[in-house]
Amino acid sequence: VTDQDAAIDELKRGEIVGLASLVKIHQLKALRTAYGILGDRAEAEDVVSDAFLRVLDRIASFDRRRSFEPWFYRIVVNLAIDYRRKARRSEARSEPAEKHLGRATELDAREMRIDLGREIAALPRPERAALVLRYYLDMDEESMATVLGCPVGTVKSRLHRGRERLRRSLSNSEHDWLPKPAEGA
Amino acid sequence: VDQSIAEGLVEYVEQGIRADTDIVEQVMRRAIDRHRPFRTRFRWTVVGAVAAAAFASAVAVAAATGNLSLKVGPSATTLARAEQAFGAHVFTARADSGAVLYAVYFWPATPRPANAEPGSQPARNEVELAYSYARSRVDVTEVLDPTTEALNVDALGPGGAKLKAAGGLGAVTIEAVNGSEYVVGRSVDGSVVEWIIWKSSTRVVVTTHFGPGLTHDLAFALAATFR
Repeated sequence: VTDQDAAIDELKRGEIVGLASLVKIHQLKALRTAYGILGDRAEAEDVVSDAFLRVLDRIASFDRRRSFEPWFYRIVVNLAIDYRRKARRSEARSEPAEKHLGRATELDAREMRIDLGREIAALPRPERAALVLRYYLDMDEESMATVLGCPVGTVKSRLHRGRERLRRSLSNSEHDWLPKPAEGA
Repeated sequence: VDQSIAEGLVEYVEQGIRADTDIVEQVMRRAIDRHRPFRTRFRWTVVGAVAAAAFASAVAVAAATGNLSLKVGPSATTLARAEQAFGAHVFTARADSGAVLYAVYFWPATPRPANAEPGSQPARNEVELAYSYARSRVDVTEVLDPTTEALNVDALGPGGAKLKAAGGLGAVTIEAVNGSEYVVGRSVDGSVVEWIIWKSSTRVVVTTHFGPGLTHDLAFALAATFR
């Protein structure tokens, strides 16, 4: 029995202490996932806290035969997307990603990453979420479709568009950390 | 490029959230504050279950009467609602094209981010249609172009620079079919069409993305039917 299994058993028995174990296990990955979508540390913390509370509320309906992670990350991603929508409506608490990233200025390679951060933050929400699931959580397209609640074709389309936009904007900037053109190409 | 994006993305999120970040206390405080006796939670579970059953029945009735598209995800909607929100005619495949529409999405316009690059455009209202066609999924996105200018598509020229890890880009051509012009993107080996883009006389830019790619004839047998 893993720590995660034990924590879920505790929660299913109504022992709230199991939640602390789940938070310890998943908080970093969940926070980074939410940050990738929102580009804001405080918002990411709000979203992930809400996600764990949602787990607490819904743990009775969680089927133990299924994997916990896709179920949990579906909650995180959907809350992140919804949170962003609410934030846009109220124009509240907007703290763009570059505020965090803007401190790094000394190393060229780091500056390139900053540019990538800006490009990611400027992508449309659905494409950003798709890129985070694919490249940070390393999910395949089927899993992404489950988490995002959309068809696999839509996932492919969003990934394609997100990649193309990043590639276009970054190759226009002649970043030296991008793969160089092949000789003779 | 995939690897570069992956590395850049990982570094981006790692810079944003440090490894020692800990929200256990924050979560537990909120959880304990709102912790309810089991009986109360049980009552809400029953209320929720009844509401869910009622909703499921309503969905089943609506689907049976043809008034509801298949709901997939939080932004799924009906074609009629999407068109209303979009504010312009939404182009759809002709009924006898063989394509089956199974989902409609609407993404509302979003303002240009404060950190957007100079010259970048805000996201506009976007309708997304998901079709099943010829053993392929076809994702159609429609966006209203505010200008009356000709369609402008970013593409790398066939003789231009290529990214070593990109696997290359397929040829992009402009083709006239039935008197209309389409921008056609092919696979790297040129064997299949992966996407087709065109702009209607009503300024709607329609992008069809085929996954997997289709033969030229099959792709246009669908794309040319959009009205």
